[in-house]
Order: sequence, then structure tokens, then C-alpha cells
Amino acid sequence: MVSPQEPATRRAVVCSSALAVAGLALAGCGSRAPIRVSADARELDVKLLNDALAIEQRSIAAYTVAAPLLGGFGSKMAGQFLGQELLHAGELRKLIKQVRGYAHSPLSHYDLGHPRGRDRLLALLHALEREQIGAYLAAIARISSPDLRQSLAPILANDAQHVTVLRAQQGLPAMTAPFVSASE
Amino acid sequence: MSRASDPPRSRRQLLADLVRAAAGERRRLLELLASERLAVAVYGRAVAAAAVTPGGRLLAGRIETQERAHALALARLLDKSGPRRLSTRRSTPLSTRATVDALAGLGIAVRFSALRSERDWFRLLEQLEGALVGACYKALRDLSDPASATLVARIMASEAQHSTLLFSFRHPQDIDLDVAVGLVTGSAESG
Repeated sequence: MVSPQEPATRRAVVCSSALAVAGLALAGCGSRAPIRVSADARELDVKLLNDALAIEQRSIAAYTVAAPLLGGFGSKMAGQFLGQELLHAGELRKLIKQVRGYAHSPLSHYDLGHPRGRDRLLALLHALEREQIGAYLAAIARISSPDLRQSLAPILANDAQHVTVLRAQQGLPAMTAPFVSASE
Repeated sequence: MSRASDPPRSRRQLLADLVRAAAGERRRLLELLASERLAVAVYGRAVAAAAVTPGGRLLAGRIETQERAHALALARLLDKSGPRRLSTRRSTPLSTRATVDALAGLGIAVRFSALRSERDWFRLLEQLEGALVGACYKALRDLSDPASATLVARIMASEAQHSTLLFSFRHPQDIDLDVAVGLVTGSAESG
């Protein structure tokens, strides 16, 4: 390995850790004892997870509509991604239940505009994936616990993969910036 | 969530928790930095390998650039809390032995002399990206700082994209392979 393990002075560690843990009660942090989460923090967790769930549900609707219309590889891709978005929605519901929240149901109707043709359908799906990435990054930045962040990261990573494929299908350079973001 | 029966922790215990947590976080970030620098070294070898086609070399080179950016961002993050600056230090080039050992630490067994085709090289790179995703995923559990966690999550997502790009290069339009799973956690051995 290239990076040496340098010794950190106790003072430097305490100073940096004080900044890092601002806003959290750290009973048991560093061991595996449970972390206290305030009612406000839990309420925010539920909101952030439901925000992400709402976009997943919208994406599910879009992929459901787009899959048979894209044809060829596009249909296969949309079918694969639809299955994965359904998995994401299921995971989010589990997490919301875990933090003792109530998961919002999908809407009865989604206004997806009137995208006509393959290019517009792909552009719609691409825009939704970027919205999802934005929601997950917002959630990861604000959610209360490392465990919840760890649960969201695999979904974010998969949506980033979706973006890669969708970009390629639209004839855009498949590679985006080195740090995934909603703006690419 | 805490249980009502947990005894309250003393100030000494809380301080010890903070110190332990911060040391653990820093260790995780240092491990990730080492993994990204390893990735730069391996991609560098792939770019230089005669067996890799011009198209493969172009892709590997682009990914190598992104791995460098990941390493720099992690080093800069560590600079904020550490006694020494890592981002401006020149990292010593890894010997072949050191690279092989470091890859073994990520659960990847390789003999560079046995990599004879582009397919061989890309299979190594695909394994490497899986290991990088896995390392980021494991690290997230230990990162309480939101800024650190967000950076690592963004890097993890980027590594997942690299996986898709590598698989797509060798298996164009094979979506089952290019984006195989809905919850991307990488390789189990890493981290």
C-alpha cells in the first residue's frame, strides 16, 4: 500500500471528531451500541426517505410506460431497470418502516408529459434518474445514521449505472464526471 | 434507536467514544485512499499493456483519470483533520510485488505475467472496480461525518459506473451483465 498509517495526535483527533459529530448524541459511538435519534431527526429521516420513494415511484411509472415503446435493446434495458427500481422502492419502504415512519403510496396518476419517439422517452428516463441521484445525495448528506446512509448508497450506485447506459443509448458520452451528481 | 435500559455514559466514556470513532473514520478513509491509489497504479499498467487495444486503452485511461480525482479528493479530506498533508505528497510508485500484494488484500489474485489478452486485463479491472465499490460500501458504516460519507457515496457510485463501462466494452448491449444487480455493494472481500 502507498499511504503510510501516520500517527494522529490525540488533540488533532479530538478536534476533528468534535466537528464531525456536531449535532449528534454519541452515546456508544465507536462501539456498536445504539445511537439515540431525536424525534426531529427521525421525522427528517422519514421525509428524506419518502422524498426518494416518491421519485422512485414516478420512475417506475415511466419505465412501465416506456418499456414496450422503446423496442429492441431499449425495451430490454427498460425492463431490467424497471425491476431494479421496484427493488429500490421496496428497500425504501423497509427503511421507512425501520425508522417507524409511514411510506407514501404511489399516486394514481403521473403526468409524464407526452414524450414521442425513442429519443424523448430516453430523455425522460434520463431526467428521472438524475432526479433520483439528487434525492439520494440529499438524503445521504442529511440522514441521521451511518447505517441508513450505507443502505442508500447501493441504490444510488445502481441509479448511476442507469445513467451511464441511458447516456450511451442517447449517443452521449457514457462517462460522466468523477463524482456522481444530479447535474452529471 | 437506544434502549431505555442503557446506563448513561460518563463524560470520560463519551470522550473515549469520540476519539475511537474519529480514529476509526480516519483509518477507513486512509484505507480508501490507498485503494484508489492502487487503482491508479493498476489502470496505469493496463493502459501501458501491449495486449490492450486502442479502444480499451482509451477507456482505461479515462477511468484512470477519475481514480486519480477520487484519490486527490480523499487526500484533501484527510488533510483537513490530519497532522500531515497527503494531497501534495508525491506517492511512491508501487512495485509489481506491492501491487500484487495490495490486490490480494482486496481479494484479487493476479499474476501480471499471465495477463496475455485484453480480456484478461479487463477481467482484472472489473474485479478491481467490484472491490472498490465494496470498500466504499463497508466504509460508509463507519463514517459519521456527513461530508465524508457523501464524498464516499459519490465515489462508490462512480466506481459502479466504471464497472458498467468495462462490462459494456466487452459485452455491448448485454444489459444483464452491464447492470446486473439493483443493489450495488461490490465484492464481499474488500475492506
